[in-house]
Amino acid sequence: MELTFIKRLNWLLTGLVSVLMLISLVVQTSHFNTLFRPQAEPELARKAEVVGSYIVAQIDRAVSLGFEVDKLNGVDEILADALAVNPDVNYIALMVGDRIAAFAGAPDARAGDVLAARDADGAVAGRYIDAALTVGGGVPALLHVGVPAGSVEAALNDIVFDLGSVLIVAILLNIEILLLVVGSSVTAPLQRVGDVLKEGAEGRLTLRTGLRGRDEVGHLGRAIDRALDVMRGTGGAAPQQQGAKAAEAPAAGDRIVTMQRISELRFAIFVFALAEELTRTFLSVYIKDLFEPVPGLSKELVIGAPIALFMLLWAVAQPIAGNVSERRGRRTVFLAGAVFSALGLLGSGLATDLIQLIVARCLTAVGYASVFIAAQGFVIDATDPRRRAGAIALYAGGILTAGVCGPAIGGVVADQIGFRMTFIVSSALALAAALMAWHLLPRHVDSGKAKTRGLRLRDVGVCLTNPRFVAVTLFSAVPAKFGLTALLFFLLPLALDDSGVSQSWIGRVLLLYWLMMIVASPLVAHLSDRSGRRTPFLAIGGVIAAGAAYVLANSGTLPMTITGVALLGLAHALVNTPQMALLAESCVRERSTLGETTVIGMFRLIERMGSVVAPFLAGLFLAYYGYHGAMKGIGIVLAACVAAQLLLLAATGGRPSADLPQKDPA
Amino acid sequence: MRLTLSTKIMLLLQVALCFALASTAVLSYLKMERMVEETVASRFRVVAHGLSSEVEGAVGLGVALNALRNLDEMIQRALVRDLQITGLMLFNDRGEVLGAAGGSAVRGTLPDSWLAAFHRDGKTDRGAKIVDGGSQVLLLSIGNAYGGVAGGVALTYSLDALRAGIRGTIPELAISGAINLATCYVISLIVVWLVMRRLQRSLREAAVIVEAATDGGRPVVPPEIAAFAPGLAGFVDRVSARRRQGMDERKAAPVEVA
Repeated sequence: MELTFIKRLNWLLTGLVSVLMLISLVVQTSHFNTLFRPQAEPELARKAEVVGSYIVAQIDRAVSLGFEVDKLNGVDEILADALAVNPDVNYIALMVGDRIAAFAGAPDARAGDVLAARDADGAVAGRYIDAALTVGGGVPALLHVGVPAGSVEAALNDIVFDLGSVLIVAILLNIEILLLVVGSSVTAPLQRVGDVLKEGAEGRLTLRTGLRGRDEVGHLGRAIDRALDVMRGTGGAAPQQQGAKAAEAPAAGDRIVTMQRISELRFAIFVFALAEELTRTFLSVYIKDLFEPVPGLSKELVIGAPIALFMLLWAVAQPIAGNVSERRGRRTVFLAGAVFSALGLLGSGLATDLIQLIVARCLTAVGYASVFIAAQGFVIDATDPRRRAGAIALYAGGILTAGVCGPAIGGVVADQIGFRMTFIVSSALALAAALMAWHLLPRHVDSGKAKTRGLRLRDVGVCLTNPRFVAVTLFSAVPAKFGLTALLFFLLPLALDDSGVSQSWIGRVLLLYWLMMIVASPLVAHLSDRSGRRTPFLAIGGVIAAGAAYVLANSGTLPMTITGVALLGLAHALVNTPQMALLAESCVRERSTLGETTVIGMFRLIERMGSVVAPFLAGLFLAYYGYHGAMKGIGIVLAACVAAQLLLLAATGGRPSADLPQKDPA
Repeated sequence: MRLTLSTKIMLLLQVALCFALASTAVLSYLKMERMVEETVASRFRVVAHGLSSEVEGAVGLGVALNALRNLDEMIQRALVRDLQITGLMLFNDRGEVLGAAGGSAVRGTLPDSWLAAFHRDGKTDRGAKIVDGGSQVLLLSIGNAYGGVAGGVALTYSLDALRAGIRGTIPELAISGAINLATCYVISLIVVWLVMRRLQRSLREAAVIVEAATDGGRPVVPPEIAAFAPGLAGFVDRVSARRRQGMDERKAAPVEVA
């Protein structure tokens, strides 16, 4: 069937929904402005009056003692003091007749000796809401207090950023749902119809579309099935010929069902990964809130402990869960993992001290590792090697999308309902993922297939004797994970929160990292494959990551922080894909003796040690040097790793060619 | 109801749009509600600050808070500055109320929840803020001459009345949201129809061709349908041939005469 149109259909529908959402949001925002302006502006005017009433009372007291209002000394200081304690007031002016006798505040509100904030008719000028209070005494005097008229717009501007985040999330969510629904109701049935037509045309009459839908595809499917039934009734190929063809026929159908299941699994994985990603922006802040002193350990080190333990357990639990899932079935391990995570997230939300939180995070880590390894195992089991890379890319796409959506929406949700409730929402999402897996993953049947041999300590020795493996793993992959965890998951949320940046903004900043990864990774993979060069990408990526740490260390403003995060995303996009290719090229001997899976498994295990060490080292740096020093320190570590990696690679040289599958972001 | 491909996709788009619009509307509403509430709170904070500064001035001269005689007068003066204040109280560091005015003012000792909030945030510039029933409570500390806390000011105002005004916008927001959604529905209906009609027509024609072949006809597969479903022509030829073969076999079979 003509499936290029269906592929385009997803993009067309995504584009349509995105444009409609954008227009609707613009309309909605302007409507909010119209509705809430009359609510907020009178309140601002009343506040200006209250502030003014205190000053008028002081001036009136002086006037009642016989002083003339236009000859009072020290009024400027009184006005300046009042302005200092009311930062949302823009100006305060004492006008005697048409002349300003005393003034404090925004220079643009004053035009020489008169107030510029008021137009000729005395109406409130666009920029300010002006409250005028009469001052007692013989001469006509007024105290003007001005507050910014743009408070509603300012709040709306803040909302626009939130809405932007929600829009990105809604579009990505829409893509996920479209992939799922269009995939199951259009793409897969059309593929099935196409395959049955092809088989039927070649004389194989045993395959049926099995479509029962009432739409056009269903109608065509039923017509084809009826035609096949009629053909078999009127005779067909010779029985023995049909038997051989029948054996081949279900294979095509199974392939479609498998790909369909993988796209459904992608949605389940997306929902599951979203559960953890929702908490990304505030986790370190939440840990800080629950902090209790531990004798002999600095506060920063203690705060880093739950994150480090999470990473450690994740790294350790993954090979074990992989082994268990081979024996007990992918479904069982996925379900158990999702339930563990749900309980862990619920426990995190209900934790009243750091110990409870650490226990809950450990449970989440085990669940997290189990779910990802079980899902990956299902994809590997269900696909032949030719289709595996595409299937893994499809499944991994869900994790990347969750990485973008989670921090953005998590920050907004946490701002509205608080940290604890966000954990509970996350827990519900993990359970929802478990329910989806319950429906779509098949029950375990022991096929008697040879089990993958697990990692052994001896294997580590074999790999670590290869200096190129050491260069790629210890000095490129480990620093990448180290930089990500230390900067993005630990230090940056804490630093931004301490600077008074809202959770919504922290989420938006973190979102940039994933966006850069999504945009730049395919381009880098293409460039790296075309040039056949890997080391320059790793080196440039490493240097940019170190530079990103330096930019973040010196970022006094939000735009600088955003630049630093975007640079880190770019750096990791440069490093990730060529890293796997270089690993394959550098470990030909190890791959032939230990097997490809073992080499990748070991690479992943060692790589995750970067995430384990990161919170402790970052906490240590933070305790001694503060945020800026800690980020600089991390930058120095990253730069040193690039130097060591280049030295090792230069010392060894040579690069045999080979292929390894694309990196899985889990 | 027959769910055509267009209907299915339309439903999907509507769900996606509904989700996006509803979530953004709720988010915007909550933000706006918070903004208005914060604006109102900042006004009352000025009154509370004014009273605490006045008392602090006296305490700074060395007079103990409990010994101040004109507390009621100060409270009354502050109370008349804003008619929406429902209660104004001055209390010492143990939470014992020394002076109070207003309909919902607390006498005796402050509730534990107020005191807990006061001890947590009372010393900050913005003071403590908690909701008690339908009232918003603001708590600000009064410093003593030694930099410690001599006591505090508690101010209450009706949050229900404030929220009633903000919630008055909900019907209008709901109507505009519905109009928005209906407009999106019409636009997406047109676009989906335009996008999907070729696919739907091809599928319908392919079904008609297969049915005709099954019924013994010799349908012709037009080039555009053949391009759409490459296996269709071969399939239809085989079905037609098999049907004709079946008919020929039936004709050739000896007829039993009873």
